[in-house]
Amino acid sequence: MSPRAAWRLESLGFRDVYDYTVGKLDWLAAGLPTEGTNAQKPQAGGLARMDVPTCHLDERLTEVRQRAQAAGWNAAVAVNEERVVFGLLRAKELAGDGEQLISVAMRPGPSTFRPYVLAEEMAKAMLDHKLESTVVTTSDGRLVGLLLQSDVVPAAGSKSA
Amino acid sequence: MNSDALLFRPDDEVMSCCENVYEEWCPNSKLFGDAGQARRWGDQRGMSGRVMDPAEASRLGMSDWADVVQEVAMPKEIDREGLRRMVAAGAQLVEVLPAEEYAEDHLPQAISIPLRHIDAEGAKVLDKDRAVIVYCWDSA
Repeated sequence: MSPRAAWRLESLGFRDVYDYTVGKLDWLAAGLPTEGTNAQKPQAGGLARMDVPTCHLDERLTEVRQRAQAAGWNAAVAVNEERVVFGLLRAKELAGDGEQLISVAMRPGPSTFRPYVLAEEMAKAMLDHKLESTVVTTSDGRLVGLLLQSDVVPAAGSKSA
Repeated sequence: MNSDALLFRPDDEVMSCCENVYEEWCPNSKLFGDAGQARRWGDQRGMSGRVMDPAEASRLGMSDWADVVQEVAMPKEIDREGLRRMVAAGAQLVEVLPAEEYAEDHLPQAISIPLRHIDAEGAKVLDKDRAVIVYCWDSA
């Protein structure tokens, strides 16, 4: 739609017209702020816990487990230096053989959600798929945080109330 | 730059002796869709020369064609970072989706002009002397 709009403006005598072709989806998926009625509603990005422990592929599970527990977590997200998500470790993975490298211990390629998804949609998806937690990333795969079912369900409920 | 726009440029000696031929090259009226068409136009007038696009003609110093380059300039794609820079520098930002979608979510500083309302009347809220960036949902 926007290419037609851009050309139409050209036809009306506008000389300097640009088309942000990837559009609103690209903006939202990058976790950037918007204005409007949805911006007032709770969304995945705002509810995700940004303090979730992270780890690298070449770390030993035992170190990561200790770090996570010390921070009061039973989950950790495996990322690279750019915070691009490679894997997720929930309680089950964290309980594995401590000598393993994270690259072996983690659940690779976890499904991720974008920050703009509304809490009500997230709550439904997480309940339907019995997900206790899920990773929220920007469209380029960078970690925003870990979204907990225990955070999103009440937030979704308060919205519909 | 619209790659479909081509022109036939007569050789210099033809140009210099045929004022009226040059005049016939009114911007916009002698742009051709393909090279064969442009060449035939030259052939029919018995002129030697070659086919080029207005940008090249403009580079060769044919100032009249600078306007044509402007005239056929197509909208330019812009990415997220470019958009942020341009809006910060004063560019106008327009969401062309239906107004209900704009009401739900829009980029900061965007105004709403749904595609169907982009006409001489609808565009009055925009300043023609400043850059305009349009967007919709995605590129699909």
